Amino acid sequence: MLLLRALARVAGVLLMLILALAGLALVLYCLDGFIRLGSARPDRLLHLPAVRDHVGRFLHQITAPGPAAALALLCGAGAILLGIVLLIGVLAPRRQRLILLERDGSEGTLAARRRPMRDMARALAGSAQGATTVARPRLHAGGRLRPSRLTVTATHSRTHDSQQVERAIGERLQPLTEPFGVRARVHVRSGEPGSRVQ
Amino acid sequence: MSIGSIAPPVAAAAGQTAPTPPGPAPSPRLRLARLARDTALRDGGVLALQAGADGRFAVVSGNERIDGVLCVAAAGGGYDVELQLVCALVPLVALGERVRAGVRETAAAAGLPLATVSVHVAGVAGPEKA
Repeated sequence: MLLLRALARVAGVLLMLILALAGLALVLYCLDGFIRLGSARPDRLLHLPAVRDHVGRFLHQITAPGPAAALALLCGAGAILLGIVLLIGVLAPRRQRLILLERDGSEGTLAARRRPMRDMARALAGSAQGATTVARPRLHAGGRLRPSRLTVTATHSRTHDSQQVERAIGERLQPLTEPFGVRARVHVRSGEPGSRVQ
Repeated sequence: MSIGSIAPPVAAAAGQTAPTPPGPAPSPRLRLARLARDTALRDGGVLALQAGADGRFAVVSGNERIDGVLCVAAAGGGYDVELQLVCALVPLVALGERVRAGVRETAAAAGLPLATVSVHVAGVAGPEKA
């Protein structure tokens, strides 16, 4: 997303530059009405009649049936795709969804991003007795009516019971999930042979 | 275990305040941002303040840039202060409350107009990074 935003910003700057140059050309044309610019006119400076001939030939080739038409179609589709990507870069929400702890108009908010919450959940679950490995937890931010959900998947050693480990992880997660109103779901399965308790 | 990654944050020596560049008297907005940053960094649980991936979460005034703090004039007067923190593995709720209370206290002591204080936890770092 960051790349798309940067791309959209670069495209915006380029468009502004093109617009400025077009404005400058327009000014020169207007000036030509009062003072004869002669060979200093933008179209003469840029040899636009010759460019028109070249472009006309090129467009004629594109419209002709054959491999060039297929290439033109591909380029057109690519341009549409690029346009959509740029639109996503411009219109996508800039702010990350936060897990809210407290929102009070007069006091301010207390919130955390999803990533630190996930990191903390993983660290806490990993410290539970009997847990061997903890996969990267998944955290779905909730809305006004729906609570956020945290899913933790862990493996347990053969010496520990899965329900016991599940309970231990749940208890470990409580200080993190309760205040933020996050509903935790813990999945525990038996570890691979040779895995050790952390 | 490696937890989180800290994007180049503000130096986070607890209790250490950044030197104030000479020049005209700072605006209340800038003073409030400095104060909020210093108060947050004084807390042992706060490792750094983060300006975000695009570096927009910062107060910039003249040559001074305070990362991880936003100060916006509030509709009812005063300023809304937002802090974006990178924390150690500590209880986040207590940390947030401590920072908010600290900023309120120091702002009141300095006579700076404060409306709200928001704390956003942007990252956590393991003990090896603390």
